[in-house]
Amino acid sequence: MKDKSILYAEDEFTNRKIMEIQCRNFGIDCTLEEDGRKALDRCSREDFDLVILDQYMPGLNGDEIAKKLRKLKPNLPLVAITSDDSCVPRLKATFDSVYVKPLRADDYKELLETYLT
Amino acid sequence: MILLSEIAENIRNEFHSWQSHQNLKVEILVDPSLSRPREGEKDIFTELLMMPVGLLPASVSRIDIRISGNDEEIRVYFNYNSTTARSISLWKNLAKKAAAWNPQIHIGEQGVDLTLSLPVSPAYPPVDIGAMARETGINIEDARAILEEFLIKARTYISILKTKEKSETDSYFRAAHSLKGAGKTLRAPELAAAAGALERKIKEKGDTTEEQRRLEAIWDRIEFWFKGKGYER
Repeated sequence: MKDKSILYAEDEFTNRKIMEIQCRNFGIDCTLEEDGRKALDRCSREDFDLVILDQYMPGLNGDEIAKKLRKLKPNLPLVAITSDDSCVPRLKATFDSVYVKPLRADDYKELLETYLT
Repeated sequence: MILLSEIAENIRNEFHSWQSHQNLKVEILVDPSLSRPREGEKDIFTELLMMPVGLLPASVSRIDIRISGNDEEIRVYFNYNSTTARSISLWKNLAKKAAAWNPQIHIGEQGVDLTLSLPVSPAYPPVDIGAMARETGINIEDARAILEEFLIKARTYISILKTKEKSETDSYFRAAHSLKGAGKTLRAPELAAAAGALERKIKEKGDTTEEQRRLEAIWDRIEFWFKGKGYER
């Protein structure tokens, strides 16, 4: 997975930090954003191998960003992470995969390996 | 193994380290039959005892603490001399706050006495850093660093919850939401549950007083635990 890059948009600090550590361990280049609008802007300007979006964020929510990105970059894998189980069915319609917090070590491994190998 | 006499000493020292309680007379009597070492983690046990003590208002002039019990539970009996009649009503509120944190606290008939039943086995820590590290696959040093930085950020969220006008729903909701998410990640189930309950209530546009009070009480416990460096064990 070396030389791969992801963007992870998440407003909650602890989750951002854990993803950053996971990526570091796998040798993946990880770009972090805290705000939905900034994440969309960055994805529009830069190329990533995978985009992971928290659902509830300031600026824009994950599914709003995903809908816009689907039009801009239809082949870009999009993964949602949410703490709200009830919105999983709805998110599955827009995202390639949906994970519910808190993520465990196996989830991170599966998520990154599925889309970056 | 823990010695109750050591815990009593910790309580006494803690009192006298507080500016507002330096002149307070503190009498602690430990039942001799309980002075032998007991099973349990000392820091957590001390924390359990200190929680109601930490709720003492500055208006108390004297405190007597009697520690007794049996092999199943330890009973801690607090008797206070209040300086003003107003203190009594204050105590009732404080007891209510303490009860939200530990349901085994009872208000005495006089309204100013508390009896706290403590399990002999250690209580679980409010944040389980070991579980967080194990379950997310990161090392314990990284987990500690995340916790330390989180606590700084979380104080901002708590401050928003305490000071923001409830009409500023968005920042109020986001603060609760962030604490819920962090609580799950940090394996702090009480924090996650209390913040989640507050988040739901804000969403329903209901009265949030009770949920906020509960969250603040849990936050106090985390701050107390952090201050005692429980996370370094």
